[in-house]
Order: sequence, then structure tokens, then C-alpha cells
Amino acid sequence: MTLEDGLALCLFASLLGALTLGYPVALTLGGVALLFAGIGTALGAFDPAFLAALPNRMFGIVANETLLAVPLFVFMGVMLERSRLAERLLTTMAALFGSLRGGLALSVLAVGAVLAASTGIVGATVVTMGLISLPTMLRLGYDPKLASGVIAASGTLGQIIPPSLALVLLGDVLSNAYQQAQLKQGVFSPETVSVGDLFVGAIVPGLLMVSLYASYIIWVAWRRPEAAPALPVGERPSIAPKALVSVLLPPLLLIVAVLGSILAGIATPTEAAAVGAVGASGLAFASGELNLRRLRETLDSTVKVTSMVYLILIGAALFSLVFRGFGGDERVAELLQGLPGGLLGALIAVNLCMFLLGFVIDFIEITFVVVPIVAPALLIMGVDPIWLGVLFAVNLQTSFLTPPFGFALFYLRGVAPPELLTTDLYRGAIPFVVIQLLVLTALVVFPGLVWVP
Amino acid sequence: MSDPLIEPDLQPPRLPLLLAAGLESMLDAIGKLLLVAAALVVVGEFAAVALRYGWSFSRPWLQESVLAANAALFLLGAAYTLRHDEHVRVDLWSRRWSPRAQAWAELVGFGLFLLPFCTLIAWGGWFYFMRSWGMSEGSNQPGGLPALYLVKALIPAAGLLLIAAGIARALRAVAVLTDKPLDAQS
Repeated sequence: MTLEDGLALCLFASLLGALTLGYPVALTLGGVALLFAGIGTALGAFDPAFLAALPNRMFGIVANETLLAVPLFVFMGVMLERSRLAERLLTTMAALFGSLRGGLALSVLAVGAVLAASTGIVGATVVTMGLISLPTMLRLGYDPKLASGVIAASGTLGQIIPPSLALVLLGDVLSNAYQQAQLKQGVFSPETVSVGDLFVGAIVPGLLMVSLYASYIIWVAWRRPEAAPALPVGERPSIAPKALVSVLLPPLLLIVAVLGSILAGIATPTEAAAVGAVGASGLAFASGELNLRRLRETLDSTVKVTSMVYLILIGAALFSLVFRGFGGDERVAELLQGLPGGLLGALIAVNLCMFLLGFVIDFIEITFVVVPIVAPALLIMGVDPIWLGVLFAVNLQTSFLTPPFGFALFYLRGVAPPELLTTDLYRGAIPFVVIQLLVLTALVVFPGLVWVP
Repeated sequence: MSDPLIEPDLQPPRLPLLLAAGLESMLDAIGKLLLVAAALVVVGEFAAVALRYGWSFSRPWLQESVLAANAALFLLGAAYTLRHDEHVRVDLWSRRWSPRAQAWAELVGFGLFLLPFCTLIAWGGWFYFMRSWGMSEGSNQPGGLPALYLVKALIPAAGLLLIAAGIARALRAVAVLTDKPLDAQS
């Protein structure tokens, strides 16, 4: 092992160590990288000229039109959340399906899938649904394990069901990695993958996941009726069909319009996100929930969440410059190519690492730090970029749901009433983790599930 | 609204916290401007889409203006977000620490990570901006925005503002360590 290899390895290990300090991840990424660049320069193992590329990288981020979808999708998600559209969607669905056994759980799943599609912000869906539906489900006598499992699992759907923010970021990183991989192979007019392609590819696996979740809920409601009771007769709210239409239809139309225009190839994700952002404001206005204060709050959240995402991107840009300066990316490629089991071995190793990292750091960090390092190597080995993106997304989603460290479980614990036992929360997540693992296996065995016309 | 800084029992005025509060109100003033930038991003991109699909009208300057507003939003917004402590952290372990230990972590993070990293952004960004300024760089597309160097100036500004936000946080951490009451963050 050369000095450079040792430093590249230490760089990664030190990053994980430094993160435990609890300082903002983006700054830790940049700071640790710079410290190692300093050490490397002093030892003659690093060329500081690599650092001079940072401002130009930052300008590249400024000029990136795909990433412009970030503030727009964030605005749309926050607007839908703040204007309580999500809440009304859930109560209406519950009124509609509550008279069925397991109906409430299915409503949570359905709203999770739709909301996921609109926000895709990690945690937001879990928190919203945890606050609204967990107390009701527990009061009705739902098995706490089932109730919390459904909420946590439905919340993580935001990772995979388009148009999710996670897929936008992953799509951008993968399209760069794909170009890089092809250039390395001597393809000088490289094919491209777009965020839209990734959206299309994620649809079948996303629907598969939702239907497996639903099957599990129905199975529990059938085998153990006491675990998922229907609303008592006296409590069943009657809702006028007209109210039903006016609550359910507009958000659905918005999602269909945004997603449809991307999938049909009419609009880029950024353009569709702009329509979605204005559309969400229109919906909020039409339902009388939009006022100046709420608009200001929405813009304020948009600034903060967007800056948070972009600063991680900037920190990760410096990190990968330094990692590359040590030749770390080539070493990772050699390492992956040398693994026993060939491509499958490399895929398992990478996914296992990402799964474990998912316990500590969020989707955004993994997408910006880890994916640019490992993806080019895997793509050179012949993996399909869209399939790889969907695999990563499902894998991370599983990680966020896995006890005891899964992010979704933390968020839910934070808003769950104290009488919900943490052990119930953990045990409730397990059936859904099993479903996730089934989907992951299915993706590997039948790559055709990632269907792109 | 009790502002500990002007309460009489805190005499003589504590300069570090006064400085922190000053930096924070500067960042909040910038934050208010950024709300406008965020609104411009949403409205501008929507207008660009509507004009493109409705009237087949598309001009590079329109798209570039939206990108410039977005650049201001996230480059300057990074410091505003830090001032409100809304950058994601891994607090799995640190949230159980004592306030003093957390204050130490804040100081270590500032000195070891933020200061070097953001100095690089400010310093490298300054030369990057000066080169662009020196040749009065505009958009490389015909019909694009002039004065591209103004957008590039946001890069060193981002570094400087992040350092300012970091100093404000570090000063508050010092106040915790010197056992003075922490005043209201918001």
C-alpha cells in the first residue's frame, strides 16, 4: 500500500470519526478533506493544484439546470405540507376506508405514496403521518407494531416514488458518473441518462413495493382482525361525495400533471417542478390556506432546505477532489474489480457499505459522497445506470427502515406518544424490511423490473 | 422579548455576545432578501416554462436570471441556514453530551472544519471572481446575461458569510464555556 492509498483510506475513516462530533456534515466534509490535503501536501503525496478547481466546481453547481429542481420541489413539498393538504387528504381517506378492517392502515399507505411523490424530503412524511394518524390508530386498538410499521414504511416511500428529491439528486450524480465511465472506456460521444429516465425506471419497483405493503396489511387484517380494527359504527364519519372529490382530486391532479409531463418527455424535471410549485400554491390558495405569513414561512423553509442540500454538495465536491487527488477513485475501482464473485460481488459489497452508511448519514450525503466514487467503476463493469440508481434508492430506503438505527424510525420515535414502546416500533418495522429485501432481491434477479421504454 | 444583552445585570456589556448578535442580525437581514430570491426562482422558472410552452418564447437571459437567483439563494443562504442551525448534522451521539461538551465540539468544528474550508472558498473564490471581473465576463451564450462576474462574486461572498456565521456560533459557544447565560438564539 502506498502513502497515497493510506491517506485516502484514512480520509474516509477520519470523515466517519469526525461526523460523530455533530458539526454540520457539509462543513465536516470540506474541513476533513482540506486537512488531509494539507497533510498530503506536506508529505509530498498530494498536489495542491487540485484545490484550485473548487471555485470552478462551485460554479458548475450554480449553472446546473437539473439541480434547479431542488428549490422548486422543496417549495412544492413545503407548501403542500404547510397548507395542511396532506392532513386533509389523510382524514378524507380514513373516512373513506375506515369502515374496513385495516382500512386506516391502507389509507396511511396510500397517502404516504402520494405525499412521498410530492415531498420526497426525508422525514417530513413520517413526521406528518406520525402526528396525524398514529394516535388515531392506537386509540382504535390497532396493534402498535402494525401501526408504527406502516407509518415508517410509508414514509420512506418518498425515496423511491417519483418525483422524489432523492431521485433528482441521484439522477444528476449518476448521469455524470455514466459520462465519466464511458469516457474512460474510450467512448467519446457518450450516451446520457437523465433524471427523467430514473423516474421512469423507479415506477414499477415503487408500485411493486406499494402493492406488497398493501398485501401485507390486508393479510394481517384478515388473519388477525383484532390487530387492524375498523372504525366503530358510531364513529364512521359520513362524507359527501362532493367533498371527497374536492379534497382528493386536486392534489392527485397536481401529482399526475407534474409526473406525467416528465414521464411523457414533455418537460424536464426542473420545468415540471416549477409548475408543481406554482400549482401547489394555487391549491393552497383555493382551499383558503394561503396567506402572506404562510407564504413567507414556505419561502424561508425553501431557502434553508435548499441551502442545506447545496452546501453538502459543495462539501462533497471538495471531498471528492481530494479523494481523487490521492488516487482514491482508481483504487476503489481496482478494489471492486478484484472482488471475488465479479460484478455481483462488487454490487453486494457496494450495497452493503451503503446500507451501513445509511444508519449514520442521510440520502443526500451518500448520493454526493459515495455514489460518485463507486458508480463509475460499477458502470465500467457493465451495470445499467438506471437500474443501478433504482437499486441504490431501494437499498437506502431499506436502510432507513432497519432497526435499530433507521432514520425513519428515529423520526417516528420523535413524534410518537410515549406509550408506544420502542421495541414495538422496531418489531413493527421488520415485516416491511423483509418486503424491502424481497424487492431488492427481485431487482437483482429480474433486472427487467426497472422498466424503461 | 427579553434581550439579555440590554439587561442591566449583565453589565458591563459583553462584547463577544454583542458581536455575535450583530453578526446574526446581519445574516437575518440577508435572509429576508433571500426570501425574495426564492420567490424569484419559483416565479421566474414558472414564467420561463409558460413562455416556452405557451408562446414558444425562450431567451437565454431568462433562464440565466433564474439560475442567478438560485445561486444567491443557496450561496448566501448557506450562512443564513447555519445561523439558524438548520444544516444537517449527525447528532446520534453528540445530542446526549453536556452543553459544555457540545460547546467544545462547536469550537473544534469551527477551527478545524469551517474556518479552513470557508477560507478556501473565500480565497479561491476571490481570484476566480477577479479573473472574471478583469475581462468583464458575460454569458457565453448570445442573448445571455451580461456581468456574469456578479454571479461569480457570490462564491467568495458565500465563504465570508459562512465564516461570519461560524464566528457568531463560536462566540456563543465560548459564552457557554465561560459560564455566562446563553441568550435567546432566535
